[in-house]
Amino acid sequence: MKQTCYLTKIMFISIISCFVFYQDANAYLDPGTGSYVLQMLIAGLLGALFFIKLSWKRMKIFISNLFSKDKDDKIFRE
Amino acid sequence: MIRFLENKGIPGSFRDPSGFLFYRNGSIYRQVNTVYKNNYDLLINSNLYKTLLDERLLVSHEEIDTEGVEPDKAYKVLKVELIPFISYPYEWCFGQLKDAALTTLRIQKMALNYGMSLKDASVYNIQFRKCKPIFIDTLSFEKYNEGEPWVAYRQFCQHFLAPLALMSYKDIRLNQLFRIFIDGVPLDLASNLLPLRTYLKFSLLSHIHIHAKSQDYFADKAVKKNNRKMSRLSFLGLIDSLEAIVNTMKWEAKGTEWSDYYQDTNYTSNGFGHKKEIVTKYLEKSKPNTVWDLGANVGIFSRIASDRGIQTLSFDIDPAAVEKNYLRCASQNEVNILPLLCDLTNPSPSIGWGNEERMSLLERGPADTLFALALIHHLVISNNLPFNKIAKFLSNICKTLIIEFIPKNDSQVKRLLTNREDIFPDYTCSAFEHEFKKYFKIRDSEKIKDSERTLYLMEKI
Repeated sequence: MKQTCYLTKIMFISIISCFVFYQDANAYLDPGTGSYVLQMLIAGLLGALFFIKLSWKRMKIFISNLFSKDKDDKIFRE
Repeated sequence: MIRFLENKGIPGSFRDPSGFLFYRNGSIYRQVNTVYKNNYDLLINSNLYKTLLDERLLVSHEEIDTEGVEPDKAYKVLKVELIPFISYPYEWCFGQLKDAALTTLRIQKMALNYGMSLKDASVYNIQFRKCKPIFIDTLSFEKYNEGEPWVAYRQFCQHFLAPLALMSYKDIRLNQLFRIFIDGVPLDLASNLLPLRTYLKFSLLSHIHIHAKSQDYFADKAVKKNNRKMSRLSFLGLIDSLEAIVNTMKWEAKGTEWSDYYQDTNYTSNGFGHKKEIVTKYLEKSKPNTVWDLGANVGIFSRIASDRGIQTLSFDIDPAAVEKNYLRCASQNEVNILPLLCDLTNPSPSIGWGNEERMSLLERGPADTLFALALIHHLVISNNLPFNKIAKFLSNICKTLIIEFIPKNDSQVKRLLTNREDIFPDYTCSAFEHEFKKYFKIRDSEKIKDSERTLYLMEKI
């Protein structure tokens, strides 16, 4: 467990050492500096994953429409 | 027994400068402060308010032409829809907390479509109405400025993600941490308690374990400003990632002490049916608007009340029983019953600032009618509670009482006494009646067929 925690810490510090930033926000809630920084760190990756997920969904819909259209055409021809 | 002061702010509604709730003439109002004017107008004019109302995700309100409690700050005064019973996350089962989390994220996604975002993600902003989660804080929405991260991310992780992960991966009882930590479960604590295998899930690794390390690392550091922004796509990716991990979390309701109780009773089917008949008869005599069923298990008797349109709270100490009860409510679309967790020997206290932010169970009563069926022997024999203390407590939370007395010669009581010394010479029907008569008038009583048990209908003196 200790080793895993240590590894997580090393991972975390090595990532944030690449770029550290902070942005002002007019919020009544304290967002927490650590939480802000982490969000910015993982934002790019989560955005990319979300983009892939959306594209995959769209592609599936496109393909299923293509086939259902084909089926409809067949039914129409029959 | 709610003790809100006339024309005073309601405790628990004071942190957000955008406005607050107050009590006047038996109704709850919300003062919207001028500082929140632009956001309130955007909420209404963007149609987000109407959309959320149509989806039954937000409580409704009516703008009222009346003076606020702090008129110099007031922009508008709203009369808000009342929630029949306010419950808290430490009283919810796993499914309820999960549904509350998903509702919060769903609202956040809808808000983004209307150019707004949630500025907080407190678990206390969710209540259950008609057994479904509903958002109760109209002032939680703010204009979304593209580029800004989610200001409520930390709060969502502490209020929803960490407790759900602990309940799902470690121990279902860890939702009781809500009683200690008013602002959700600290992420370093969650990270320490979660099993190693959660490090292998990217979402939990990032949103809890690395998040906790990040909070710790930056706790005492001044960080340089930077112009880096979080794109809308990344923002949506964050919400989607949280939604996906919440959706994967599961907890199976089995293996706890009471979850299979009804397969293990000593009633004959004739006796069980007779018990239902007597409860129905007593319910018709007492004509309540609200029923609290204490020790309800999966809510079989609660449904005698809720099926008659009576607002029923179905309390039990066992997380699996409450989970099963809730899942049934959700699948059957039952609207008059709300299953909740409650340890009667230690009911929810008042907690938070000044011990008054979250109400105790007693402050949220009394119920018109209370069910205490197959309960009293557990309180007396398993918890050493004298009849007098039980009678006094029950008289504080109800007007009429439907209670079952189970004598020592009943097999369930014998079982409780199997492994302990019988130090209860006063556990008799006559002693029970004697003590309860100090607080209640016995209106009726009837022996249950094929058993040694007796049901009573009592009225508070």
